[in-house]
Amino acid sequence: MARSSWSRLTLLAFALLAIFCFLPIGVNADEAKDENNYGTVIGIDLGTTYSCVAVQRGGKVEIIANDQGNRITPSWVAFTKDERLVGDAAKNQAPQNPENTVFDAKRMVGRQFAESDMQKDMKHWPFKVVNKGGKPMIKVKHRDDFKEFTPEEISAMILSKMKETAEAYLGHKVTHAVVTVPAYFNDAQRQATKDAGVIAGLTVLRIVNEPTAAAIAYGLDRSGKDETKIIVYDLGGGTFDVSLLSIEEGVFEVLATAGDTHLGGEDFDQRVMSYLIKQYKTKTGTDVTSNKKALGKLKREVEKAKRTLSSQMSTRIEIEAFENGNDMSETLTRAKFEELNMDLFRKTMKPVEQVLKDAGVKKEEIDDIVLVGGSTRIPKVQQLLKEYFGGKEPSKGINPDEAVAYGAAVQGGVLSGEESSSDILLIDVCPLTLGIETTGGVMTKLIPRNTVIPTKKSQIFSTAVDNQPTVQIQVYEGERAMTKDNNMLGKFDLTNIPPAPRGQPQIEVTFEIDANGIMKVSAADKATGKTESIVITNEKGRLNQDEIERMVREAEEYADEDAEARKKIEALNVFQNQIYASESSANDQEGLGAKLSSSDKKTIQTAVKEAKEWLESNPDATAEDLEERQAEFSSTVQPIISSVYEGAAGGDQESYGSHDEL
Amino acid sequence: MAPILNEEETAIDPYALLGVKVEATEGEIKSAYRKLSLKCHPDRNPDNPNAAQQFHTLSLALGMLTDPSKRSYVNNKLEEDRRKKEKYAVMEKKKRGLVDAL
Repeated sequence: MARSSWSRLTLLAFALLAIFCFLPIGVNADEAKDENNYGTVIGIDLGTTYSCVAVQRGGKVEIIANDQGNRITPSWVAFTKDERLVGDAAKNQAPQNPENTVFDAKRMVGRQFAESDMQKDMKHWPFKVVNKGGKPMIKVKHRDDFKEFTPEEISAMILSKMKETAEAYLGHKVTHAVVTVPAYFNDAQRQATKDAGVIAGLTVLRIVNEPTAAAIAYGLDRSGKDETKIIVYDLGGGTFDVSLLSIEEGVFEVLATAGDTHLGGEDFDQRVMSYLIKQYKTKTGTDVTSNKKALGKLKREVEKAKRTLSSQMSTRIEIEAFENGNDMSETLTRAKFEELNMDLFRKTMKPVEQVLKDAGVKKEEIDDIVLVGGSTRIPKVQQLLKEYFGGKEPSKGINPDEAVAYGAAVQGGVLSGEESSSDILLIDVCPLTLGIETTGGVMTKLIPRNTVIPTKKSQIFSTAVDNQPTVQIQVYEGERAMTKDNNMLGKFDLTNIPPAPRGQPQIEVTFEIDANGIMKVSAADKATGKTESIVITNEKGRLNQDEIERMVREAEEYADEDAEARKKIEALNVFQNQIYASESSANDQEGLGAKLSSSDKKTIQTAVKEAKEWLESNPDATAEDLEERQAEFSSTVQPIISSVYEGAAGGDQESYGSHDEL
Repeated sequence: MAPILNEEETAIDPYALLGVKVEATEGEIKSAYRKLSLKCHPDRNPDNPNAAQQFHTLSLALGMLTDPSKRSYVNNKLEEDRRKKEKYAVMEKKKRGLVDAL
């Protein structure tokens, strides 16, 4: 064997099982200090395609509507010549600006550029993704500059938007949140989600699995009853999760969880799009696969058609000026939609079988099947589930779009000590097996998947060669037998092991997972008492502290820019209102207009016309420019109108048209 | 071959921890576990640094009583302890009887 094997992983599993060791469970001073200062803890469902925010107050959970009045917000961010748009505004302008409109950030979070799923997705995205040191970065044009963003930053923009939505509703700042992720998200993806929170100025108190959160929404009013076993089947826009939970007297216990981080509504849309593109090519001979604007329009219409097909048997997809001035008109039947996606629908049954097997529960023992995620509205999906469970009708008691945020808000209430939540507890499990690499690249498991967390496990290992001074502890997650097939979380060395024959030193490796799913791994040489440890937070694919700090700064800058843009819009509104009010006064035949002399009317009409022209020729005017021009307009119009009021009412000096908006 | 219980498990009496009888059904055991979890889970006890350990021990106890081979091992061990105690008590009685007789 090569000399370099000293530093390579050379641990031998000791035949004996773990020797128990009491390590103090780390609650550090900082955590204790912050404990009572969470304020209102909001719950955010950060979805692939849509996000939702909720809050628990006074025992009630409220889903918070955004500034457009929508209870769910598209997880989309757009960059334009003048501004950054998040949510509905970003999605609405997507067909006009496909290269700079970003969505699906959740599919990139915590992933490597080279992963096959990434490569496959990239083919469908109209925006550009570049490789930066193995990590994917989204490249867009913003304010005439090219900028690169990590998926975490894009997610942070969406989280910020949700935070602002909550703040506007609550009327005060929000600093802490519970954010949900698919149960099958690995450690890197969870950590990246937490980083996104930090960038958005939010402390993510807890990452909760989406199906678990949904189960809380489902089971909240069932507390106090006998044990209920439910399956949460969560098929969203981008991810698919199945969990088996038991609910009894307010205690929610996750018994098993499985899924696919890459399966959902978007994949169904993609299938339909490919089909329609092919159809269009056969009919017209035009291939639109590289026409991003056409694809953007098609994507929007296909999503709409898919929704329609959940309630109708057939729908028409009509797009005016689809490409090069030509229209598109196609009929899509539910049967065709199902045929295009049948293999994907069937694929969702595998994880259902898996959780039943893992939890050792027969399908007859399941009391209810809870549907979560917009894609569960697809009739075929419901039918497949019903067939699998011997004709049992899935439960439709909860809103599939809002249940996850709802549950997250309840957990937020528990963590912030909200009184009414006193009888609820969520017992969670780790979704993947955790272990270390031992000689020959073998995955030696310490904590099997679906172990209840928080948990701790120790095991004794030894050296592989005589006089080995160093062992390297490489921590992995995953279910495969060889570590090369699993996901590495981190590594560290334990050095200065006194010379000894192979197999003699006793190295105790301890895995500890806290209630937040954050893992600490330590290794101790029992002979010398020397200990090394690692908290699994920063490893490949994740952001380091400097990067996070830079992104936090940039996010704040964006917030300033957004505030500037808002100010501009407000100034523009005030000005336009004033122009409009003046114009209608001057044209008024009765009221105020009747009291104006014709020369005054003329003055006002000229001022109105000039102001309108100025606005048209100065679309880039700043808030200050607008205010200045408005003052000028005011100084012409105001005296005339005030004089009329003075004459009429004896001196009502209230300035006209310059009120704050109501 | 690895022993059925690890050292951490050997050190606890799962029946006493969960407060259930030896003949308790799996349903009763799980129910007891959940009720106790509400009391000792770290989420419900943010000020108690030992909560995580307490909850972990509780989970271990549950694992011991829901795994048939572990439970029968625990039962055998408890039974053995009881027999030993009985035997000791009988011997003690005999001894005392002898002493009294003398």
